[in-house]
Amino acid sequence: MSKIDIRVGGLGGQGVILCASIIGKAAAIHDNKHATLIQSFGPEARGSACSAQVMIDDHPIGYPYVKSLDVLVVMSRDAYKQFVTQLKPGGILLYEEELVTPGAMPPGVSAYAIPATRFAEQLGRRLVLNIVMVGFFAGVTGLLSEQAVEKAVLSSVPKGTEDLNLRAYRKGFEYGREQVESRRLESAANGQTQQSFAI
Amino acid sequence: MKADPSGVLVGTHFIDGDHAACEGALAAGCRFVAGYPITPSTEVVERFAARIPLVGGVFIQLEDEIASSIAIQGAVWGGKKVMTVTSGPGLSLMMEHIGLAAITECPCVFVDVQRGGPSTGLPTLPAQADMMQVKWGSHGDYEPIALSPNSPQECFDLMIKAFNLAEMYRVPVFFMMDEVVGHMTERVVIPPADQIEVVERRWTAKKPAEYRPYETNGNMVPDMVKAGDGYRIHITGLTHDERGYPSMTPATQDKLVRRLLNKIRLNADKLLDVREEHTEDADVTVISFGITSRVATAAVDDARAQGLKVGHARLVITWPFPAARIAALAERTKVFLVPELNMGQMVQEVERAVAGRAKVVSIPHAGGTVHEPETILAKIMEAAR
Amino acid sequence: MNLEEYPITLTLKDGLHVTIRPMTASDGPALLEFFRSLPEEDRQFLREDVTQQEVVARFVANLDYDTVLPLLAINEGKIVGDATLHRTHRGWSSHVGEIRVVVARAFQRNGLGTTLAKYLVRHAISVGLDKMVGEVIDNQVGARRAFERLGFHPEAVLKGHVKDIHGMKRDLVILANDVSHIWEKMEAMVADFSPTFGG
Repeated sequence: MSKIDIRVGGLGGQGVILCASIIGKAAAIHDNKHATLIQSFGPEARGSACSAQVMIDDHPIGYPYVKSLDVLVVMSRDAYKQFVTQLKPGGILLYEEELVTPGAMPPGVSAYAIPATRFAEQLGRRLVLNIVMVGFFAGVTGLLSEQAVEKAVLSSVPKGTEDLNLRAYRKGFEYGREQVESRRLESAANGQTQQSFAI
Repeated sequence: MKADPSGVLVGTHFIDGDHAACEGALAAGCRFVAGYPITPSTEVVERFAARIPLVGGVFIQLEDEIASSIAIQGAVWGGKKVMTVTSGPGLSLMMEHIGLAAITECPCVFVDVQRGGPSTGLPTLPAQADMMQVKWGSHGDYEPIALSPNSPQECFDLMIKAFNLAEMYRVPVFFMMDEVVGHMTERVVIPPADQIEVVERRWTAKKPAEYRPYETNGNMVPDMVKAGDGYRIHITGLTHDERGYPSMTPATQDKLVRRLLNKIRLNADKLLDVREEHTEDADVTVISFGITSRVATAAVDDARAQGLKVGHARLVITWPFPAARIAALAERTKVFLVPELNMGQMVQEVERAVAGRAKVVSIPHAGGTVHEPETILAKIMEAAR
Repeated sequence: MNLEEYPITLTLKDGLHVTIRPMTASDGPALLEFFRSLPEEDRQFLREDVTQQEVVARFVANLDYDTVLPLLAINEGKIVGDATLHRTHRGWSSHVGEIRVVVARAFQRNGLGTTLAKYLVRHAISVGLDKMVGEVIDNQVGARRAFERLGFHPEAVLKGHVKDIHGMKRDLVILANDVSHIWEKMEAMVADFSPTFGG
């Protein structure tokens, strides 16, 4: 795997940092890759834009800042607007379906949407929205092994919340897998090849 | 000696530099920390305070950095390994007590998570502009040790080295982190305690009647005692003789100050930690430290991929400055490039060591973010011509 | 707890084996037999006459695990314990779940009631409930102790609220287990706010 540059963006209170941190943890601890996470906070407690970048690589990471993104995960319209131009052609956009309305995207970008907030509420707690997004990321990109991300989720959430968070992760994961699969069938039917990441 | 397992959080972690530095201190045996919160260093002591109920130890948040920097020295004479944690503005307040630590030969670690300055500056953004301050900030002649980690793993590993050096040489040791390394999260592997080498304080074997606090036994570093063991000692910031009592004569001054400096200067070869890549055949050598070294690595790799003979010398120990090694490199290298997140500090030491035998080019930066690899690469290309 | 994890087989303190699983539509006859085997005072908390076949048939026909999750303990084909988690999806207490437990006399005093309640507590947390309550009569010492072992504390006493089988008025003790602090921990994790900003 060559270096993968990922950014997660949203508003304070959505668990942006936790989402990015679980992705990084899964890669660095359970999938034995190198990962670097750097975050930026806004000045207010809630509602400030915040984002985190995660770099994943088989080799040790030198320069730790992402430039252009392979994957962009956004949970707010502002985050989408701020970071969409950083997506590489052929990159992947993952967005919260009810909070973000994508406009023009760089060429070749594949976009996948998920009503993560709604799923989280249905599961029982809105605040597991970011865990749903983690699952969605894992299901769509296939960059990390399922067990690695599950372990990372379980070791990142408070004791007692594991059951609900695991369900949230799996919901996002299944939803992501389904979307990728149905697009693959669509492209195959149209005679196109689907771009994808190798693990 | 092996580390005390109670302080070693064995395992593979995904944590940031601040947290890793705290774990390094605990693994090294640090059990007393006094500090005052200051961005971007606060997490180091917050974690320490959270860990010590299980590990054992004391954390006191004192009224300011002046108090913190002296409280730790009291704890040293109480027998503990100690550290305080701060950033630029706090370090400035600690200067007088740093001098005290130097003249009383107090083993202590000062963690400076550097941020933009001067003054309040950029609290949440990086810089590397305190490098000269730790060497010259206190009045008088003294030789500190300073280390520069460039990753959370190094924040763990090198903290142990920092505590070990403090005990070996009885000097204030400065752990020069920066906001990026402090807040960047990466894998940190903490090995079992029996794989961690820890240097314990050298307690005297002499009886109270025979012990002289500043008498050396030939290796320039006196043995220590701690309060409560029955030794009557006098520790003062005034120039003092072997008994520890003030002795205000030029002769005593000469003897004491020279020993304080020589215990570092004459051991410079043992205090050498420069990580070199491709310097054997380098026409251009980049000298870097801390977070800048990671940017420099990217630039050097790019340049080498283009066929240029570029070397990289990363300073892990910045004080004492590895002048002899840099001078040796100057025999081969034609141009030294020194990128740093300041307007030209360590480059002055490079210039001094090189003494005109090669060209030295500063790549300064006012701070707030790191260099772009392209900036350093452009300077490499220019130098290679 | 995910319902896919059932059935679970356990060995109780006295060596008896039980299988625990959610109630299904085919459990009608066995459930009727269980209720009919209970002494009247063990049935009195139920609001319907569970010795009537039509009543029990209605229970099993209208199973909706999201509203009422009944867990059965089965030994050698017979139901020996029944615990239920009740939720309301609308209304001002939709964040609270009520737990009711009844165990056949022969199987009491060996931890079965506590075990059934424990699984329901886990399930309640995993669906995001903030709080659980259980009701015991002031002289039901064993039941009260079972709840307290699971973290419940007496919260309210309704005086003279219950008439026992002898017609004597007794106090009803409401025991509560508030787990919102678990979720508060996660709230803090998703706050994406750096308290040390500035200064």
